[in-house]
Amino acid sequence: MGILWIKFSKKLDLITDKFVELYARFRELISPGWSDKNQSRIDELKLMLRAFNRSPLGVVGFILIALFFFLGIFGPWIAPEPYWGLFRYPRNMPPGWEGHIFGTDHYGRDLLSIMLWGARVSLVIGLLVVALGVPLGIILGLIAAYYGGVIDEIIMRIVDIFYAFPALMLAIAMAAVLPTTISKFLFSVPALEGFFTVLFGIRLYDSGNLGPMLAVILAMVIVWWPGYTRMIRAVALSEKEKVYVEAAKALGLSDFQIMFKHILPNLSSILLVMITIDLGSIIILEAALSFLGLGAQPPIAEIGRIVSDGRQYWPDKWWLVIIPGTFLFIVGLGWNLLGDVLRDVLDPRTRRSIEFGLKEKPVELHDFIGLFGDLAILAGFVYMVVVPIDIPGAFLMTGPVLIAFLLWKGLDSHSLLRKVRVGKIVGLVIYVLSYFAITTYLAGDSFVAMLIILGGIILKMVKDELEGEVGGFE
Amino acid sequence: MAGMGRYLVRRAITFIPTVFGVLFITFTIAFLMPADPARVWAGGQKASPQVVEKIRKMYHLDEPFWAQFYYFTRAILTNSIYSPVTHNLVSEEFMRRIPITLNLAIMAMFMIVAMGIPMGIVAALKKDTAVDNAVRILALIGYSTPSFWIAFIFMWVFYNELGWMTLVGLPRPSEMITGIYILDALLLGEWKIFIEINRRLLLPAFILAFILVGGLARYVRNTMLDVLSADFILFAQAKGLPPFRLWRHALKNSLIPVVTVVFFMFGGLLSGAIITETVFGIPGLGVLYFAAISNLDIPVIVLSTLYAGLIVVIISLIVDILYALIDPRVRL
Repeated sequence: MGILWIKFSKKLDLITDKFVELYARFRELISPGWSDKNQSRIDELKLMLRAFNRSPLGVVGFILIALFFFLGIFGPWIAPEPYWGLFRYPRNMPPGWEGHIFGTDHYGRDLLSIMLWGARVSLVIGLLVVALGVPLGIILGLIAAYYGGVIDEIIMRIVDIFYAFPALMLAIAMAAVLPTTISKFLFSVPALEGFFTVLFGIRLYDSGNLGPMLAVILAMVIVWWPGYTRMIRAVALSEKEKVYVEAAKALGLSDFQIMFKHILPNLSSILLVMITIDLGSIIILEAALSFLGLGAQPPIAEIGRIVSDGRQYWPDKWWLVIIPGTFLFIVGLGWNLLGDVLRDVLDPRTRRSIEFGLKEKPVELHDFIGLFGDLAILAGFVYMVVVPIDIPGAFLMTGPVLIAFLLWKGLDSHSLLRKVRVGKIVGLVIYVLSYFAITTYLAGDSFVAMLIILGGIILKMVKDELEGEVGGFE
Repeated sequence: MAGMGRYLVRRAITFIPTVFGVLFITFTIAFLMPADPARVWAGGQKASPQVVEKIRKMYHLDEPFWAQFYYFTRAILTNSIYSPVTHNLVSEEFMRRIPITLNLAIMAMFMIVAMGIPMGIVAALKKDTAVDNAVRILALIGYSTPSFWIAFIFMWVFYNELGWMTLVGLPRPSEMITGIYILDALLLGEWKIFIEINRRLLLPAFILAFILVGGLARYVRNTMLDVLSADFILFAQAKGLPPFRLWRHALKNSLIPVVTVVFFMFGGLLSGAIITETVFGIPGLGVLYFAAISNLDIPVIVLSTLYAGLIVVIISLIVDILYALIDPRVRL
């Protein structure tokens, strides 16, 4: 696994390096001479992304989020059916019913389609909450930290008050209070109404739902900004004492310039991590609110709403709860994985340790043993699973061919392995394994396959024993 | 304890405005409620104008914001707030529900502490191994699990399939000693009731724990690692202390911030787990609050929010005072 992942992540390095170069070229187009001046920054960025690539969790998180963004942006276009086609089919049909992959929902719509429409709503709500709440939190936090004294005291007391309420409780109360006011305001500004209908991907006919939806967004903004104010203030307080701020003051820069042009950029990596992790929580909290019946009403597609409509049929019609719930879980997990790995990668201390871990170690005997152990386990499993099905030719794949293929692929990745004369050892192991496979096949029972697995496990244990303490990033 | 008195005074000065602010915000939320509450309480559209007018007078709904705020504060202090929907004294309604929520919170907190702290310590001692990664992944899964989804899955496994749990009723022990059902049943030795309470509340408590435990474990791990890299640990190492004694020193020092987090988690649980209680139909504070929102039961909404806010404010006061007692640097 480890070797295969390193091979894979090196391919990713090529892609991310290309992206960084593309970015540099783009900046070069805007302001000629940029990449010469910022060569160190470009290298740092490349290294950062390489460190990110070394973490399978981070890459998985990134892929999940990229998928979520894709579904959120293009969902309404790729959805086979519109969300407003109520009662087109029988209600609550199981997955696979007449070609509907996820079945139909409580209102007789194609569940896959409304999930795609709902993804757009989730994405837009998450991004809007961040776009409104984070700047507010940043500004107040910077002001509190920079000026201190009475201003700091007042802002932080207000933050304390908002912090005192449980997030869900305050959000529920706000989401229940605000809709009418917002609706009134929205209907007085038709351009804004049109803008939001396009953003959420809903019909103008359903714009009555904009009020509740924006109320949910505002409610979550109210819940979220104090966290950012607290965090920014705490970091900015220590940043304020540094020499570069003194220098900027001595140069006669205005307070505004010092705060936003000099202090704020130094907080960007912490902010990025916090926003990434919070986006997951925001999407889940939004679903919780719509699960409780707040926010958009049917026919608008909202993930939490699908769950709450389907819960009365639980567990007979499980797909109404499980499919949207799993979607939410995966999206939340994606954001959290991404944020967690970004925290490691953006923190210079931990990043260095990742980079040191990247250095290629010389290959030692126990690496081979471990590799063969893995392959033996794999071969045993493949043997047990594939052979009983009696597919002609599967037998050939089980033993030597598959193993040889994997070995060749796996070994090729480790550039250092080429220097070692491995041919003989590999050949021997393949021979032994294929011998076992053939005899078992002829004997017609999977007992020997078990033996192969056992042998693999023993080999793996030997490897661990040789290696001593397991360390490193993978 | 030099300076302790002055610290307490200073802390109290910031405490009172926060309480007042919490009250003010909750009342503003209720005041901004869009619908006409008097009409809803009188029975909707068909209500006669006289009744609506009478209710409006009774609850001072026709007066300006500040007057209403004054009446409301006075009513809180004299404990004379009745729910216009259920016609009960709100504080009595609270008293009926607090034991249930408290029960759930204590069970959940017990599981969180019993699982989270050992997991965090092991993860810190076995940094960068499979154990550490497992704790990390568990924490991430906890953060990103929608509670209603996991609740339905567990409900299916333990109720529909295994039949270990029940979803109705909540038996009480014959006598109240501490007011917490599960403890009372244990103290009185009423095992049947104890098991019944567990069958009803163990699953929701476990779901609350599942969502929070990883976070606590990770927090314990990080503080533990911070402490392990501190100078006094290096000194103890140089002095030649065996690893076991070393860990004990580290543990003592890292548990102080952990206690804060545990306190705040408990505070959050005390104000009622709205989603978990709704899914499992547990008549606790969360369900009361949610029902009040749908019925426009403004007194209950305001008092629930006030209660939740007060708990957090009081807990932070307790934590600060504890800190000041333990750590003299805070007092200065």
